[in-house]
Amino acid sequence: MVVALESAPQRWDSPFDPDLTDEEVSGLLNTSAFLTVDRDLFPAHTPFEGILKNDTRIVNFHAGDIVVREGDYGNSAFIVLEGSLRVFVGNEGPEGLLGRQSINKRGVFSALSQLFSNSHIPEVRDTRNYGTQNLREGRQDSDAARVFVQDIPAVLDEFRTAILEEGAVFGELAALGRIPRTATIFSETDSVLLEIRWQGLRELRKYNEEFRRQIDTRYRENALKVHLRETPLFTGLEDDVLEQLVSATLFETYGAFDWHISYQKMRSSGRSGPEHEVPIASEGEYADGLLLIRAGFARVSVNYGKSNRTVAYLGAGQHYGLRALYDSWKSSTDVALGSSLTALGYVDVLRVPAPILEEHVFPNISGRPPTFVSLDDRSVSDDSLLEWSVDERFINGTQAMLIDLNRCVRCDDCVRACASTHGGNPRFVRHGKTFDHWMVANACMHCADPVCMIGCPTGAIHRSQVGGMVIINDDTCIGCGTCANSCPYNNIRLVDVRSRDGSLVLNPNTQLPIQKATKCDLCATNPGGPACVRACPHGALSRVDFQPETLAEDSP
Amino acid sequence: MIDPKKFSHQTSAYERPNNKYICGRGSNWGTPCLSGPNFDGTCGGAEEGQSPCTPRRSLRRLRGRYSAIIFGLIAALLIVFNGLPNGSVPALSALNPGPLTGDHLNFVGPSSKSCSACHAPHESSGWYWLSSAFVDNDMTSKCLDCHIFEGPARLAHNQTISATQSVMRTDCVMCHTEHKGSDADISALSDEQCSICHENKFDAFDSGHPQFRERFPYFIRPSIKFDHVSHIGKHFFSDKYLSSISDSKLSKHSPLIPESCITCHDEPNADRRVTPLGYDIGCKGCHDQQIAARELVVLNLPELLERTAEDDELIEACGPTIEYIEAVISEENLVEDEYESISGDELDVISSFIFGYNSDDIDNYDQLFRDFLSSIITSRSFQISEFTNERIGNQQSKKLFSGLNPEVVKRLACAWASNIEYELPFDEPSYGGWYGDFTELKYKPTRHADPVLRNWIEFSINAYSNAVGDEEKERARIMRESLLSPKNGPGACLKCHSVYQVDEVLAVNWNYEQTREEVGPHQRYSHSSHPLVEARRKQAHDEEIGPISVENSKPGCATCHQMNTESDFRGSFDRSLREYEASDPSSYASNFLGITKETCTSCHARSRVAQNCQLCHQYHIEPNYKIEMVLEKPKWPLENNGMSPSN
Amino acid sequence: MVSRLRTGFVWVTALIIFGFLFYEARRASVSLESAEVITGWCLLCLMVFLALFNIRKKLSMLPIGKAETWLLFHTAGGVLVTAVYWLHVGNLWPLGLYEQLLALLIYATVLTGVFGYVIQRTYPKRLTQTGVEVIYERIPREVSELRDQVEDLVLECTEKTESETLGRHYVDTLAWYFRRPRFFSHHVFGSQHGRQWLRQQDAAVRRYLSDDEKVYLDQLIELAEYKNGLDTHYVYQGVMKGWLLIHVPLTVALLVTSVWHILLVHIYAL
Repeated sequence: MVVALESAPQRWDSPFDPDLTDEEVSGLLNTSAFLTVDRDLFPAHTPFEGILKNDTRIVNFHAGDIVVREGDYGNSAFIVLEGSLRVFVGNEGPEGLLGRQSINKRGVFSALSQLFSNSHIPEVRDTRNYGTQNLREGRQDSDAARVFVQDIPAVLDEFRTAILEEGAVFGELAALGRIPRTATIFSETDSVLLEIRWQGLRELRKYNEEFRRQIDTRYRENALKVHLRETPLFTGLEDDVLEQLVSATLFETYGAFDWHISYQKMRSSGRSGPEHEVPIASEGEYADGLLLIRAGFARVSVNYGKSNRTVAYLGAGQHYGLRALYDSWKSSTDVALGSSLTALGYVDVLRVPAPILEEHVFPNISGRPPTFVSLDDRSVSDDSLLEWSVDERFINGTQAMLIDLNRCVRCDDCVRACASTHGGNPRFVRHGKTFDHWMVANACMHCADPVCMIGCPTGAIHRSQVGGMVIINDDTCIGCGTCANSCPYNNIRLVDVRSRDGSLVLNPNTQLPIQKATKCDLCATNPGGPACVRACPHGALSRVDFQPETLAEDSP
Repeated sequence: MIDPKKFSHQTSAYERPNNKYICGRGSNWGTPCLSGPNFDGTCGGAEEGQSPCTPRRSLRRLRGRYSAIIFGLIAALLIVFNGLPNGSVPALSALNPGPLTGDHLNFVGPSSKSCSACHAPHESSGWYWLSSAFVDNDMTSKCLDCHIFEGPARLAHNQTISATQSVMRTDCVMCHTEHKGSDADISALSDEQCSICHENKFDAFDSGHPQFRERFPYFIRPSIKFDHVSHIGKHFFSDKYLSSISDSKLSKHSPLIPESCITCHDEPNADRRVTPLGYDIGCKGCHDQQIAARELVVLNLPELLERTAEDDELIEACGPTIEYIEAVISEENLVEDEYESISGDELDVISSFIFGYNSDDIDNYDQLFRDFLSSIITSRSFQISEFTNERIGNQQSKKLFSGLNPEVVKRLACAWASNIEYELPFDEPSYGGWYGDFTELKYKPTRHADPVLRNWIEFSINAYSNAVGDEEKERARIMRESLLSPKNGPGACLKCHSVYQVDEVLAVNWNYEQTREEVGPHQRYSHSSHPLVEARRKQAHDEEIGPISVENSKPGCATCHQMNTESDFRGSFDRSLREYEASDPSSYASNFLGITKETCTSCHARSRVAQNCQLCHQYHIEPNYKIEMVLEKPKWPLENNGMSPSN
Repeated sequence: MVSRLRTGFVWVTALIIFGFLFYEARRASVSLESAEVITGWCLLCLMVFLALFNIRKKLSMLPIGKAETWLLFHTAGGVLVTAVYWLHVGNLWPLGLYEQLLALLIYATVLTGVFGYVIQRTYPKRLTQTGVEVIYERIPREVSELRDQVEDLVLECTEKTESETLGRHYVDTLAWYFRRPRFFSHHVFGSQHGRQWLRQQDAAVRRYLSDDEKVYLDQLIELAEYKNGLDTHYVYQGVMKGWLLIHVPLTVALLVTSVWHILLVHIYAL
């Protein structure tokens, strides 16, 4: 198991919880969860105590407080220190608890009624809907408000739940694998949890055998088999072979979770490009296994001139190294990799060892696996758009707003159309980064890796069950700005909401205007898809999926 | 490229192009406020501590405002113009969609109701005005204020044709639409438009038009029996004829031979018809002398059974006769011979009718005739009409015996009463008129179109129709036959003037006349507008080919009018004469060959001369104006046209 | 992007509609019916349909077809209206005063439409060529910020080099340039007069500047070049927005007068 650290723990310069005292850390060392940890196995530069001190915090939950929500993205795991928690089994749970928005598609007349109901006053809200969730202020200043379950006994009666007792670990798969939380967990009694941020989690897994085994086993049991089964390369395999595959596969993570923050810095300091990215595999080396991308993005590049030239980027479900492995197996000599693979931000990779492929997979492959795009028939300028979209991380977008500036007459019909379907308020800015005659406007791209969703305290920002677009529930948004700050593309904006008479709605406690995070919702409630696309009279505007498999078709 | 940081979520709010206002400071190229104008149009910068500006309306808002202004302006203009009395400002009349043609131009002008000459004003109220948009305007009735036709105006072709399909109701504006410019042709009708209704559809005259009817256009017997074939073929140019007459006669005859058709036909005034120039020019030269010879015997002395009067009576009435004077001188007694009538004739056909007895009914007419003579001789001035009044009416009698000198009658009667033949004291009257001659009272025609003869011919015709009883009818028939027979004196008129029948009564065509119905009311032809015919006619003159001929190869009029030497032209008249009652004017043989379509298509054909329907056919029948239109300058609007001038 | 096939289809459809109307008008006039009534009502329907494009823009919340398709219909319909108008009137210019007003409006509307079509086809590319991308409403702010930036630069130059040659030049000429968008009419026709003027200002003052000042001048000119791009955007985007300021009110006028025309015809003639 290889974990590539980007650097020594500079992150400890800003600890997860600066107020965590040494006494509390030593108290933690004596909890049952960490008694068995062999501290000698940790390197000197990252001692176990250091991890606890800097990468964890102790969080208190009231009875009823929701700890994690199904569908949320999070980058921390929890260990129960005190009290008991309940996890909803199956996809059950009280309605409205998750803070999600139920998308009711409007009918034609309802849609038309917006013509009259839309206000010329900006950001008017019907505030009666606010406060339907049970919100509780966080205990510490750093805590955001929490949603809580009001009538615990009734909820326990009504829904099937499982209990989580002291010492239980949860949330680690979502944190490490960058996948949505799979269950909703709330505190049954008042409880104390240790929250470990992803960096600390990774170190723990790296240096603590038991911890790793615990996580890996759970991962293998829950997700890996399904994931491998869904990989086209392995669909034809027998169950027992697949079992072998599951047990032999290694999983690795590369890059930074918070790439969306770091990449801007890198770009602005001129350190963009593959040579500044975390390498996963390098051109000229020999492959020891097939790399399957499970989450995140990776760049495939080759040396070109004085730099590297991107030939492709890989997203979830795609693999790297198959051709070199196949050639090695065929020729019984070691064939070096023809390209490098680097992490674009955060990448979760599965490594399937070569021998098992040679035994079970290659004999069934008919013909040599194809290479990535051949450079012979592509000029640098052909690929410049690809380089640009990778550099700008637009590859994350599944519904990026792409405007052809050679056709766009700047009439703003798209903006007005957007406003007409959103109560008179636009939800994007018709401006953005340009390349050649293309512009990616500041409209939500409904990212494959929705970093905006990390840390939403109420679950207001979420991925829609239907359609998969990222939407914000205005009723449960508390305007904390976490999402807007997270979005690397500046596509979420906070607005001051107003009542129907045009006056700002103020928070009764702070007397500050109540803010709400807003962004493009792809006209989720409106019939007929995004109004902006329909409204463009010159066909200049389109919503584009930058995912590797679709880019070829949709991109220019 | 603008610094992307300007668009970060912290520094840039959504751009709101649907805002109604834009920053006033910005539009003056100052530094715009950060927050921009408020939604209510006030300056949002005031809250930032800046001196407030006056936000401007956004472009779209401006656009909406301009649209509203334009809407209001036009609506106001329309209302103002519609409110003005029509035509009060002619140049600004918003309603006139274009100049009118011809005399319709008079409808446009300063007179306040000019438009209402054709258009109903619908002026009573606003709502009524508006609702009349859904009611049809009856423009046709307005047209008919002035225009009239021979036939119903609202039916196709004024309903003179028998339509095989239900003929649609027609409106004038279907074809005649105005306001298309003063020089617009508002009567144009295309061939396609004709064939919409007409079942016999064809592309063009030369390709589908049906063949003309047989004998076209010589369907109806002409009123004057002028036999072109015999005149031209025999009398004018036949060697046989010319050699049969004496030299002196020939020298008189030759100058009378017409040079060409137009010697007798009125070519300078020709249009549809080229009428004959008349008797004086066309016939007189040869036929005038023949007329004087055709005497009419009106009365004759029939055989009488007894002496009409005693001598003394005669002497008293008529003066002594030569015999009587001689006897007195010789003092011989006049020998009373056995009476023997000097006349052995029967009663003349006219006399027979007038006296009311058959010609041979001597037993009955004897006494009557003698009384007639007696009354003449005993009367101081006897008008023969007095005697005939009873039978033929006073007026008629006067006409029939017009110009008859009573003295002549008396002398004649005296002679006849004396049972002697009357001897003219002088020669026959050379200029015509009444005269007695032996046992007859005769009338000698004075000239062509002699009124007395004409009266007698008409009398004989009428007498037959008016006769009562078989005997009288028979006598009238005999009289009529006698008078109309070309063999007898006045019958010579009928050698040229044809007889026709109207309501079972015969009539004589005294004048040249051609009825319209001959070729149809919708056809038209203009001889004068056929320059080719004209040219060829002139050429014929110039080359002296022989101006007219029965040979059909000759150009000129004969291009179309070719003679039919075979036809029994006169025979068709004679036959009908024998059978007056059944005389059908259409069953006759023209001495011209019928004109065929090919005659026309030799010129009127595709890529040659025009051949559209309207060239030869006209839609309306006798389009004309109402009399009041023609008599005086009409005042608009016409009275009683349903329009009441308002305000 | 609407495919060429669909574009072709729409134009062919327009042609077919015109063909049908032409045939129908001919048939009506041959049948002694009123062809003007048929073509007139069709004309109104077409004009209303064209005007609906504006309504459609206001109804963008409804899935009533892509605006691009509508624009295609609008364009083809506009040409069709012109043709049907000629069919209706029978010539290019009518005789009546009111009808001439109608003709004036229809021609003006069509011509502004053609103008709009042409500029919308040509201006975007020129905008892209400026290398500047700016939202029209933000141009005033952008100009103002640029002005501040330039003035700071000039001040700094004056302070640092203790020479007011550049400052003088700025006050004399360039201040005028940075005051607001300039060379409007030149930009409308795609002329590069603005850049030439800048080069001239550059060359005029450069010979009097020290090397230090020249550095500032270079920066100044760079900002001025950017301003030139802004000017281009201001003009082109303004024209692309502004032409509707004429086209739309004309359409309103045309529709009102057309309805009145139809009303008059039905009241007085039909």
